[in-house]
Amino acid sequence: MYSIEQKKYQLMKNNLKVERAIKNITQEDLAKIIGVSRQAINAIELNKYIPSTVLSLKLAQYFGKTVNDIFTLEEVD
Amino acid sequence: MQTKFLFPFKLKKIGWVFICIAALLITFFTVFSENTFLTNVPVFYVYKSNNPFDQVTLEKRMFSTTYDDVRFEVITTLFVLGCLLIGFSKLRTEDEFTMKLRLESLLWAMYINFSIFLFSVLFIYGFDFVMIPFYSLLAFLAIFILRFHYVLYRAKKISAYEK
Repeated sequence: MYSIEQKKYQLMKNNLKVERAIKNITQEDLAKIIGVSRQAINAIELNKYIPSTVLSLKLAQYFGKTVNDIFTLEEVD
Repeated sequence: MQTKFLFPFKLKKIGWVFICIAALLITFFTVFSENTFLTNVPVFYVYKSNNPFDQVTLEKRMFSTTYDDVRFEVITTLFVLGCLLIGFSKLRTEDEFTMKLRLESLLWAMYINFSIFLFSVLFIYGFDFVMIPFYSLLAFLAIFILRFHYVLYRAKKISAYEK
């Protein structure tokens, strides 16, 4: 994960907000469907919380995509 | 979402009731300090040590009964049970995110509490020091609950802006 020489590390990003806009669903409704709190969805969208594999799979399942389509690893300086 | 080792949501209210009763009792005992309510109650003990200030040796140190001032016991029990119920009951929507906030708050409370504890070990001297480990234990729960509810409040506030 970490490399001191390159000073680069990987961050997990997501396009949940975009997917939500496509489906036209609010954070509140999505949270209810998935069975988590609204704050959890919000924190995931703001990249403040990395969801568990189970939650990621549930989200992907709801949007009819694979986890890789929604969550990506990005290199950050 | 499954969360182990937490009390049901309903018990959280009972926790607040316990804390309120404890606060009322503290106020009552402070204002009516001459009142003898709960000051001479028969209690069972597993172990009782000699009072260092009198020379009388106890006949029975283990497993017996005595009369004692139980104000301290009642308030401490209410406070600890109340704090445990408030801090470790499920929230209305409990999930992995709120559990993470809870565990982070515990870690946070541990750091703060032991900083204060080390400070008092190094800079507080005299007889009053004997009470510090005790207060430190209670402060741990209080700091945890304050921090946990603060981050929950902040998370709610941030998500209120978003659509």
